[in-house]
Amino acid sequence: MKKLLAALLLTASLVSPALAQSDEAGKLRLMTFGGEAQLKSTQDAVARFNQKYPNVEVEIGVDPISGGWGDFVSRVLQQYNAGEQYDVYHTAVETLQSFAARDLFVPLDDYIAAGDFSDFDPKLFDLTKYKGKTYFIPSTWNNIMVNYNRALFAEAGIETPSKTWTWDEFAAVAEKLTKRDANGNVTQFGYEVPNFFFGLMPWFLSNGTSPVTADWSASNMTDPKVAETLQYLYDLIHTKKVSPVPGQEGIENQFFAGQIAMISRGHWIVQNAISSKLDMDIAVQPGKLSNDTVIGFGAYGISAKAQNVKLAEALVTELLSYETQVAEGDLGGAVPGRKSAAETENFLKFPPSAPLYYETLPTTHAVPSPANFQEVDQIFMRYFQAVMANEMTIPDAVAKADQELTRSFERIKRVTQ
Amino acid sequence: MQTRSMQTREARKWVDRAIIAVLLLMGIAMLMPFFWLFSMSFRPAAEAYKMPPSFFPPSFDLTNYQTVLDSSVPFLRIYWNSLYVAVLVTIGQLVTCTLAAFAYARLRFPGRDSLFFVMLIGLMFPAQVTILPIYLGYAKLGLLNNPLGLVLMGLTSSFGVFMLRQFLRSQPKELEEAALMDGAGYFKIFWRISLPQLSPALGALAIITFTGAWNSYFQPRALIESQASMTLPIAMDLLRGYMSQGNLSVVMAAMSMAILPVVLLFLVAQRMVIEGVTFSGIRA
Amino acid sequence: MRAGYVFVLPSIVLYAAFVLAPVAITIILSFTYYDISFGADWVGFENYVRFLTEPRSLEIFWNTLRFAFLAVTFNVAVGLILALALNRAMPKFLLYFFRLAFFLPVIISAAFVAVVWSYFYSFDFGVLNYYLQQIGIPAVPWLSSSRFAMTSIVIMDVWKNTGFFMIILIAALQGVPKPIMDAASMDGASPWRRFSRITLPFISPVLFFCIVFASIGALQVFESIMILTGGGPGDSTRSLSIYLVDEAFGSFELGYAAAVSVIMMILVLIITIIQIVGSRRWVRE
Repeated sequence: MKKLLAALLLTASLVSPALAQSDEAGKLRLMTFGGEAQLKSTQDAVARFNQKYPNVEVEIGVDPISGGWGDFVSRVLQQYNAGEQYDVYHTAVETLQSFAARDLFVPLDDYIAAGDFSDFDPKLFDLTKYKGKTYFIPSTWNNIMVNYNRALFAEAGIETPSKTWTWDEFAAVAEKLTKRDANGNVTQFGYEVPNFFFGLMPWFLSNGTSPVTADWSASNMTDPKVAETLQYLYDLIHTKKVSPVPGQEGIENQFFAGQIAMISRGHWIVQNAISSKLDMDIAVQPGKLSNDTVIGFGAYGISAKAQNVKLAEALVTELLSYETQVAEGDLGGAVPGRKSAAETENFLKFPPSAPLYYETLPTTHAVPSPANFQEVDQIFMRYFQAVMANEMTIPDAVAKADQELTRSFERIKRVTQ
Repeated sequence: MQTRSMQTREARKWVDRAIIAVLLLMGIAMLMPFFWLFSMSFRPAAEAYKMPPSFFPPSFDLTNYQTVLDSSVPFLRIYWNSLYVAVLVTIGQLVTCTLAAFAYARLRFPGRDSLFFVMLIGLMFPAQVTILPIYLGYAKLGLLNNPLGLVLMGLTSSFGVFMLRQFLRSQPKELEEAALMDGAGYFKIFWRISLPQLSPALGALAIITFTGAWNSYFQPRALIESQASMTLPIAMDLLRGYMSQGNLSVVMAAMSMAILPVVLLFLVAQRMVIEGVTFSGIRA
Repeated sequence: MRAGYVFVLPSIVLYAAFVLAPVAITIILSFTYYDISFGADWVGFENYVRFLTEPRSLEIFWNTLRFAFLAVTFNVAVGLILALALNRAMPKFLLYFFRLAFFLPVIISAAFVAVVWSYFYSFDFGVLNYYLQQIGIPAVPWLSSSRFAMTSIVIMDVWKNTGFFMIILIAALQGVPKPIMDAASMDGASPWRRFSRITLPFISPVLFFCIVFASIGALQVFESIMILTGGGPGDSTRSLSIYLVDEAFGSFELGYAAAVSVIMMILVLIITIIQIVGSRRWVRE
């Protein structure tokens, strides 16, 4: 009888997929971000995790970041304060300093050394370090590219942008792509000057500057190159009139409808471009001093209060597995951090220049993410919008923004020191 | 004399017609945003913002609705959560606010007016001020990520108490006084006499409370993180996607679906709402 | 005697737990520097001093008052005009249509129609500007200029809320005794005279309620502004409540945000008291 049972069990194990099932039991809480598509791919990854750990229950929380990353940090800090923290967090580069400065996460250096992460670009790991330790593992990333409508380019007889195109060439192209009706009202814009901090950063980086210093510790608004960049963008809107005034709803839909020819966005635009059947491709950021652009990325961290760190690590391993990464690449929300997952046929199919994402990675700079990043973002954007709406002159705005940023960096020292 | 009054009657008729015509135009203008929302929900994303604008969708394309239903967002579950919260909050407010309004309007007890004043001051505190302490308290009680938490915090309202009290005060109180003389208990008076008097106002309060809970966004967003406990306005955020970069036409389809029950409820109950708000009582 | 307490108990307990206690905590927090992971440090009036010396606060404070004044005036005035216009005999289907049209915005979350409003107001791609340009009027920067942004927000706010006041005022108008009105018309009183001498005094308590209620709501305005401009361009449409949410959840300045909310509560209280005192001159007892 026993033999029969053993034989049955043996056949059963042969028939069922060769999964090394763990009988470890427990509960894990995972907090992630994004829209329903990202949530779905996370749920799928958790389902795969549960095949290996059938007795571990994973509870998922989600924040669509509709209120910006500062809101997310507030939420996480509240969770910790209330003892309601999750075990594993999916967050973004913006938040890393705020969290690391408060000792909320465990260092992952040993786990990374032992794991299979050689496929990830080392640059991404460099960006997650805080005081010499790595607290986060990059998942997917986004850099800002110029997305352009190929049909409109062909129609205007404009060549594919080169990998070294300049600000002047870009402005000329944008002018050619702008159409006006008999009354002088614009019917098709060449470009859209972005209305979000992350999207504006490439213009500063390609001019070798940034609104804050390179070590993210002080304001850099008084750098003449900041004013120069603002002037260039202002001219695109008000002098050359090739871009709508920032702050209007549905700009991406205008791009999909062929009413804007070029737009600065990340990989998140790709899926909607496909579903809108838009003939789109990507080009590098136009350069003044360089063609550098900005990068932002998602990253997983494990709470310092997690009960079972080993189990949490196993979940992170699954969340960063090749399979999950390929699925996230297919979703089109961001570029997979695992390079092999960005080399699948599906990923490279659209846009035609998809390899450009990884090619430009070495010349990207992380979006400024000091512990007061949301305040920096808000202060900068407030003055940016005032300038672009003709409410304030550039020298005036630069000086006032500088004062406010300086005060903000002063205040945040209470937390970082 | 006869002709003059006929003339004025004729003139008044024309004035009435002109006023109604202006009202009609305004009414159509008022409904325009809703109309546009429905119209956009039937267009593919690339069509939605095309210039020149067109009032009617080129075809009744249901793709956006299909996308909503096919998405990983469990719409039925979320509808249920919204319904659960809105119904329980409505019932709760009807009970607590009527009881309190009865006491403030009809009974005498020491400190009555100061208590009522304290309650009134509650109108002055916006949700943004109270949310953080509530979050911390809920964490201790295990009410985060739980629709029950949303119900509890909505069970009473200063507005409800205020409105019902004013309404009751406008009603004759002789019946109650007579009943009291006959030795009826307070609860019996409340149940038999005051409650029936209040019924039109209760209808109005019910609609206002139900739609308020159904539309509530700020508090659920702070207190709910799990998809299984979400209410509709929060699920809209999820559909709008990361940093609201998602496909707007799909969001519009979802919003149309979220609005529909409210519109239907209003159409069914509109007699109650309108006549219920007829509380000449605020004149007190 | 004690029965009263039993009846008010449920609402008072809930109210104390969900409103009074949080407000008390907020008042205490306003005197601290509070970091949610490091706890609170008593700083006295520092947060209040910061608000009073902050260059931005005057504009934000002024915006709040300006919005409240415009929104209350138009919400109540349009509501009253609509109520007067609807207070006449008309076919039933028209009555139903008007009720639906004017009251629907009140009960449907503005967040659901926000996208549409932003689209209407869009400068380069907006529906409004498209039709303005068709008839030869230059495009209006509805939301992208400080000259127009506040007006545009008030327009949406009136669209959203005026129906509420309309309904309440219709109810009040129906309470005006018909015999007095008929007698006045018999005596040949002009419509304006009938309105100012009979209708207005009769509905004045309700009108007063509307003004107070609208003011409290308008001074706390959050949604209408957040949806359309988020406070911009610059600070030109930022209200106190938007400012305090930015500070609390964006900058993690919880103590400072608490101080801003206390200032906001005091402002509401003062305005309400002024209105109550002022009302003795015109509201019929």
